[in-house]
Amino acid sequence: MKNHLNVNKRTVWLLALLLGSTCLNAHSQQVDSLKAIPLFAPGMSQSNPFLASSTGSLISSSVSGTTIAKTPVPNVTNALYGRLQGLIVGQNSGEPGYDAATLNIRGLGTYDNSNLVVCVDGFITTSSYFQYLSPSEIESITVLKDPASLAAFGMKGANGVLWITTKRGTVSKPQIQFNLVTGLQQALRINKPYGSYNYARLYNQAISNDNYALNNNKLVWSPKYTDAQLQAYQNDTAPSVDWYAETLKKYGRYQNANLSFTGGDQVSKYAVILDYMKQTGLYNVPTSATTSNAQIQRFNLRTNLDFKFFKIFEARVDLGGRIEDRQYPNYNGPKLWRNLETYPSNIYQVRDGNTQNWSGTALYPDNPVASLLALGRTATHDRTLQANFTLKENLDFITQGLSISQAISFNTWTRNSLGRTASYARFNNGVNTTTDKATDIASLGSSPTNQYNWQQITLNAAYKRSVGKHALSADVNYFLSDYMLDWNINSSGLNTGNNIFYHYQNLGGQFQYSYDDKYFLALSAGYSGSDNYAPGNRWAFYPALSLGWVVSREDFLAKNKAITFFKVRASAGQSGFDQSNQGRYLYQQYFTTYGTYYTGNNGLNSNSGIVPSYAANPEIRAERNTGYNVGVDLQLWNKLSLTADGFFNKRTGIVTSDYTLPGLFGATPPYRNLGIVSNKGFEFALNFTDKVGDVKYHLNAMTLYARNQVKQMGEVAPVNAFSRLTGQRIGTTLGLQAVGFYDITDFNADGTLKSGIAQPTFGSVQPGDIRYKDTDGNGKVDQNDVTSMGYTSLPEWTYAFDAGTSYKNFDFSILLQGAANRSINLLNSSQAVAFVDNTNVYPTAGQAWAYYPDQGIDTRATATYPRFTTKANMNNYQSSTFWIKNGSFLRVRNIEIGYTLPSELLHKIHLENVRIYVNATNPFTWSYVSKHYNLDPETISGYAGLKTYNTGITLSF
Amino acid sequence: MKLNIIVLALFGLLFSACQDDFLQLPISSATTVDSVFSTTVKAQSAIAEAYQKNLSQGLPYQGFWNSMIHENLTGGLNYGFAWTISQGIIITGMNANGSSQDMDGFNYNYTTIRQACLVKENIDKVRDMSAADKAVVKAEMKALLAYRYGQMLTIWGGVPLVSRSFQAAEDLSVTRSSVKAVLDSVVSWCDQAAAVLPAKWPDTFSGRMTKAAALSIKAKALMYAARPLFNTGTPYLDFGVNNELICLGNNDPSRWTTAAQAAEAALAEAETNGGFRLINTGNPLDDYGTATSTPGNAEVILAYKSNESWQMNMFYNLHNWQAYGNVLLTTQLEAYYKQDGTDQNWPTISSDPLPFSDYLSKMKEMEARFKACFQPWQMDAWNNPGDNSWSNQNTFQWEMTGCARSTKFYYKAGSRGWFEFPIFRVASLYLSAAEAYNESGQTVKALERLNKVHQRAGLPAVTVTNQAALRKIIQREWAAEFFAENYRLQDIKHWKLENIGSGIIGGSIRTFAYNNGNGAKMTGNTNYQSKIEYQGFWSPRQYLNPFPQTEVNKAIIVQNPGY
Repeated sequence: MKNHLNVNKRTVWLLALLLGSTCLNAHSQQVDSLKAIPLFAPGMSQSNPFLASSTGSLISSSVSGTTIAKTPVPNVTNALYGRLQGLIVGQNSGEPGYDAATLNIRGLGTYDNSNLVVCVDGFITTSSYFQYLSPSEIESITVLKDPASLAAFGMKGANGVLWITTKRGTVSKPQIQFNLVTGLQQALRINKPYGSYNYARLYNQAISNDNYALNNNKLVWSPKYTDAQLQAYQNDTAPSVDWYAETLKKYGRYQNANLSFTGGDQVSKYAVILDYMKQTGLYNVPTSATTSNAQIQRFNLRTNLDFKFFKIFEARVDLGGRIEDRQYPNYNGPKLWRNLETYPSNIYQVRDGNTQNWSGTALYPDNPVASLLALGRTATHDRTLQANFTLKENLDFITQGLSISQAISFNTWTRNSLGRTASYARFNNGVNTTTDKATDIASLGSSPTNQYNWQQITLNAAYKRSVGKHALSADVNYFLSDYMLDWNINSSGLNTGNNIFYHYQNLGGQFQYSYDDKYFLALSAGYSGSDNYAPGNRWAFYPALSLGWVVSREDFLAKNKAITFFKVRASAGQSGFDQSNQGRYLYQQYFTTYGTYYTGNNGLNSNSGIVPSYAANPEIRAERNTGYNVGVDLQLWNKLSLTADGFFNKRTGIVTSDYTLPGLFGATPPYRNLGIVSNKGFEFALNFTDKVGDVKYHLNAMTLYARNQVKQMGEVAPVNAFSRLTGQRIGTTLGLQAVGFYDITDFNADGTLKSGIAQPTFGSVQPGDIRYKDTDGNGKVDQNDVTSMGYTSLPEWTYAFDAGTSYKNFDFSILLQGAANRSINLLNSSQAVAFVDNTNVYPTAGQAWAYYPDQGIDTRATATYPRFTTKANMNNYQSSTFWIKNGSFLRVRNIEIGYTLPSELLHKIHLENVRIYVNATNPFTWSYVSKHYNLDPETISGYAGLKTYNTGITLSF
Repeated sequence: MKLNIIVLALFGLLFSACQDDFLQLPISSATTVDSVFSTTVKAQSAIAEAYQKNLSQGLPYQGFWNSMIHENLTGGLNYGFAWTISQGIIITGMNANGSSQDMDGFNYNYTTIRQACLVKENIDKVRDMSAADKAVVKAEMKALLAYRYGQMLTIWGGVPLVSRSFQAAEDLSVTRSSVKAVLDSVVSWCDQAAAVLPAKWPDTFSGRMTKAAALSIKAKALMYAARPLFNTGTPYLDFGVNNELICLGNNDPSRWTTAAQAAEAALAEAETNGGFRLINTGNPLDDYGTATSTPGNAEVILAYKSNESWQMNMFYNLHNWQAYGNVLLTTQLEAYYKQDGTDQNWPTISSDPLPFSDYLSKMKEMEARFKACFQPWQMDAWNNPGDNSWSNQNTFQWEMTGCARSTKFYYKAGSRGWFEFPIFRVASLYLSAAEAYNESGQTVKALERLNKVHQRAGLPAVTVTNQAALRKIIQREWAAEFFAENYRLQDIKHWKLENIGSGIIGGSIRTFAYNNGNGAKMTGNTNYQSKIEYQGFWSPRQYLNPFPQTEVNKAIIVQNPGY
C-alpha cells in the first residue's frame, strides 16, 4: 500500500516535471486527482497518503523548481513571470538585495493589506524568507486561489496563499547534481537626459517663458545662456557630463552554483542542497576595503531528512539555513538614481578643475561619482534558519486509514549592519561650496539592527478510506503561530513599540467524498482566532463547499476519441485576513500625550495633556472574502488541454477610517469594517503537446483577467459625482482632463483669458500651459473637475505564451509575458517634470510649446509638452490625463537553448547527464512607453530593472 | 472512529484553553481608556487637555503659518499678509467650502466637547480621588461645555447639541438645535456647575473653573441672547421654518433684565468670594496694562493658560513678523478717546497729508488704554517703558502703512514671549451690566457700571442719559476696553451695527499712510494721511458663519441661509 502510493507520488512529480507544469493542473487531475486542500502543517501533505486525496473540484496552479531555475535570477520572485496561472507578478527595482517583484493572486481584492501568505513546507514564513530560497531547494510553488482551498486557512486565506515545498530525498541510489550558471546583467532601459547643449538651449525657453507676466504678458526672448555658452557646450569646452556613463558600468555580474545530494531507502531519505549566489550591481566602482558596488552574496544550506521507524512512525527533519551578505556604496540607492535622473549635465565636471577635488555645489551637493567613491561602504549580514520537525503516526491498527501527526517549526532571522564611512568636501571653481569636510574612512563596527522569531505548531488528524467506488477522506488540523519581531520593523498603528507579538490560531478541516472518481464533493472550513481583536470578535468561521464532475467518465463520453478528459467544477467559500495596514488592536482606545496646560500663576504647575487617538471600535474584526469559482478542464485527443475558470470575489468588512461620520462625533474617526470590494474575472489556459518525428514540442498560453471595483469605502461624497472613487478600481488616480495647450489667441491683452474660456484656479496661466476641461461646466477649472483616469499600475490583463521544442539532444524554449489595461502616471517618474526644482530635461520634452519667432522657434502646432518653466507650476503639473499613459507591455521573459551531451559519451566518464545551455531573461520588451517615452514600463524610475544573459551547465552523477 | 472523536475532543480542549490567554493584548506602556482614568495623576492630564481644547476657541494656538486673530476680521487690525485665512474672509467673504471665522473649523468644536465629555463620564473610574473632588471635576467639564457652546452659539446660531461622548456605532444624526435650546443648555450647565465649583482653587490649581467663571459664561451667553441679532422674531435673513435656528423667535425686552441680573450675580460672586477685582490703583496705564497682560492678575476670572501660547505669541507679539503685519486700522483707532475724554481729530480721507509731528503729538494725547495697546511709528512703546527690546528700533521690521503697531498683552513683559489670553475679566461683567441696564432703561445703574471701567482708564465720568447715545458710548467702550480680546467681531454682528458693511467689516477700510502715501519708516517720517487700505466684503449672510459643505452633504445639518 505504502509502496504503491510512493510510486504514485513519484510518477506524479515526474509528470509534473516533464510537462513543465506551468499552468495546468488538468494533466495530473485527469482521473486520479492528487491535490489535497493544503492545511497548515501539512509538512506531510505530499507524502501523507491520507492527505493526498482530492476533491478534484479545486483549482490551483503549480510550477516546479526546475522550471523556476530556467530563469536564473537572484530573487526567486523574479522567476515567476508567466509561470503561475493566476499570479500577477510585477517587476520592480533591480537593486541587488532589494529586487523583489510584487505578487498578487488574481488581482486585488482589498484596498487594505493585500499581502499574500507564503507557506514554506506548511509553515508561514515572511516574504523575504521565500525570496532568497534557491530554486535548487524548491520542489514546487503552488498558487492557492480557489475559495474552497483557502477556507481552511481561515484569517490568512483571503489574499491567496503561495504554497512552497522544498526538495526531498527519494528512494534511489545516491544522486548528485551540480549546476553552475554565470551571466551578465544589464539595465532594461536607461533613459538619459539631454546633454548640456540641449539643456541650456531649452532652459532659455523656460526662463523666457517665466518672464511672460513681467513683460506685459508677452513672450520676449530673454535667454540665460548666451550663444557663446551654447557654442561651448556644443564644442565640449564647457562641462557636459553624462552622469549615467560616469557612474554605471555596462554590466553587472551574476553567478550561481549549487550542489545537491539526494537518495534514500525505505527507512531513510535525504536531500542535502548547497547553494552559492553572488550578484554585483551596475555601479562603476570597485569592491575594495573602502568602496563597494551594490552586491549580494547568498549561501544556502538545506538538509531535508525523512525517517520511518517502529512501523507506525514517520519523521521529518528539515533544516533550511541561509546567510545573506549585502553591501552597497554608502549612499542611499534610490537617492543616487534620483540624482542621476535630475542632475543636469552642465552643473560641473566630476572633479573640480582647479583643485581636482570632488565637485559639488549647494544646489547639487551629491556628486553622483563621489557618492560611489568617496563615502565609504555599508553592509548588512542576515542569518536565517527555518527548522521544522514533523512526526507522524500511522494508526492503521486502530482503524484502517487513520493517522495523526505533529509538527513544530522554528524560524529565526537576524540582521547586523556595519559600515565604513567617510565624507568629502565639495568644491566648485576652487571654492569650497558646502560645510562638508573631507574625513578619513572610519569603521562603524557591526551592530544588530533587526530580528524576528517565529514558532509554529500544528497537530493533524487524518482519515482516508475507500470502499468500492466510494472514497472518503477527512482531515483536521490545529495550527498555532507565535511571531515576535523587533519594534522598528513593525507595522503601522499606535503602540508600535509594544506590538511586537503576533498570535494566531486556526482550526482547519476538510471532508471529501468521491464516487467512482466521477463525482466529487468537498467541504472545508477554517475557524481562526487572531489577537488583533477584542474578546468576542477574535474568532471567525469560514466554510467552503466544492463540487466536481468528471463528465468524460460518464458512459456517453467514455468512448469518445476526441474528448479524452472533461471536468466541470464549482466552488464557493469564505476566508478572512487579520492584518490591517491601519494598525493593530483597533478595538482599544488609545490616548496620546499632547501639549501642556498650566494652572497657578505664571505657569506654576504644568499639566501635560492627554488626548484620545482615533476612536476605538470594539466591533472591529477581520475582513472577509466570499468567493466563487466555476471552471472546466478539457483535454482533446490527449494533446490539447484547456482550463477555463471564472471567479467572483467579494471582500466585505475592509478596515477603513470612517470619515462619513458627522463632524459632531468629535473624535478622530474610528476604523470600521465598512469597505466592500468586488473582484471578478476569468482565467484561461491552453496547452498543446505533441511530437512530430524526433521533434517534441509544446505550446502553452494562459491569461488572467481580474477587474476589481470599490463598492464602498466610506468616501465623503465629493462635490461632483464624477469625482467619486467609489465604483472605481482600487488605486484609481483622479485628475483633470487635459485638452491641449492654451494658445496666444486665448488671451486678452492684459493676460487674462478671453471670456468663454473656463478659468483655471491653480495660479495664473499663459500660452503653452495645459488647458483642462471644465468637467462640471461651472466656468472654473478646479479640484472639483477631477475624474478617474485610465487604469491603475496593476494590470487587469496578464498573459503569457510558453513554447518549447526538443530535437534529439537540443532543446529550445521561449516564454513571453505581457500585461494590458494598465496605466502609467509619468508624474511618478522624476523625469517627467522639466527644469522645475533645478532638475533636468529629457528628450521626451523636446517638443515643448514655445513661440519665439525671432529665434526661429515655433512649436505651437506640434507641441507635445507644455511650455517650459523653471518655477513650480501648479497648473501644468496637476494630476491630469496629460501624464497618464498606456502601460501595456509584452516582454520576452525567458529564452533558452540547451544541449544535452550524448549519454554514451557520458557513461564513459561516469556521468549520468550533462546539459549546457545559454539563456536570456527579459531580452526584449515592446510597450507604448518604451516606444514613445524611452521608459521601461515596469521600472520607470530608480534602480533600473534588469535583463540578463547567462550560460550554464548541469551535471548529474 | 472513536479515536477520531477523542482526537477532535483533544483539539477542542487545547484550543479553548489557549484562546483566553494566547490571544490577549500584551501588557504595554500605552495609555488606554482603562488606564487614563486610573489615578488622579493620570486623570489630570485628561482634565488639562479638556481645558486646553475647550478654551482655545478663536485663538491661533496651533501657530499655523496662515493663522489669524479675531481683530484681523473686525477692521481693527490689518489682515497681515495675503496668505492668511483672514485675507480671504475679508476680501471675498466666508463660504461653505472655505474657512469660517473659526480657524479650527466647525467640527473641531466637537473634538473639544468630546474631550470634556470623556472626562465627565470617566472620572468616576479614578481610584484615588474623593467623591467631592470628582463632583468638582464634572462641574468643571460642564462649565467648559457651556463655554464652548456659548461661543458656538454666537458664531453659528443653533448647533447640534452633544453632551456625551458618542460611540461610533450609535446613531449620530443629531440635527441642529434651536438658538433657544442651545442657550437654555448653556445656562443650565452654568447653573449646575456654579452650584458645585469652588470659589477659589489652591494656588497650584488656580486658573481652573470657579463659580465666578461659570457665572461669567452664563452672563456672556445671556447678554448675546438679549442683543438684536438673536432677540427678534425676524432674523437677519428669512430662514422659513428654520428661523428658530438663527434667532429666538421673538423680541423680549426682559432678556436684558435677565442679562443684567446674570452679570450682577457673576460680579458679586467674583468680587466677594472669588477674590477677583477690577484693578484700579489710580494709575490708568499700569492698571489696564496689568489687568490685560500680567499672568494670573486679580482681574482675570478665566484665562487660556496653555503652553501653546508660545505659538500664539507669533500672532500677538510684534517682535515676530506674523504679528508685525497686524497693524492698527483707523476704525479701531477712533474708538479711543484722548486722555481728557474728548475725541481726537484724525485726518480724513480727503484731507491733505499732515506733518509727521502732528501724528506724534496726537498720539501722545491718547488715553491710557491706547498707550497700553499700541506703539505708534517712530516711538518707543509705552507699555514697556525703558525696555530697549520694545524701543522703536527693536520693534521696527519694515516699512508699513497702518495707524500704529499693536503691543497689547505685553505690558511690562520685557523679553517674555508668552502671555495668558484673558477670557473673562471683571471689567467685562461691568460692561455687560452697563449695556443690559441701559437697554432696560435703568440709566443710572448703567452709568454707574460703565464709569467703573471708563474712569479706571483715567477718563472723566460719562454723564449722557439718552439711551441711544449711551448705547453708542457703551459699544465704544467695549471696543476700546476689549480690543483683541475676541469680543469685537461677535459684538459688531450681534449689535447689527448700521455701518457694518460700510467701513467696519465691509466697504472702504481706512488706515494711515506716510511719506506721501507710503509705509512708515523707522525714523525720518515726513508726513501722514488717511488712506483706503482695502475694500472689505460684507453680506448679511455673514451675521452667522457657514457650516462646512462636507458636513451639510451628510444631510443632517441645515446650512445657514445665504451660503
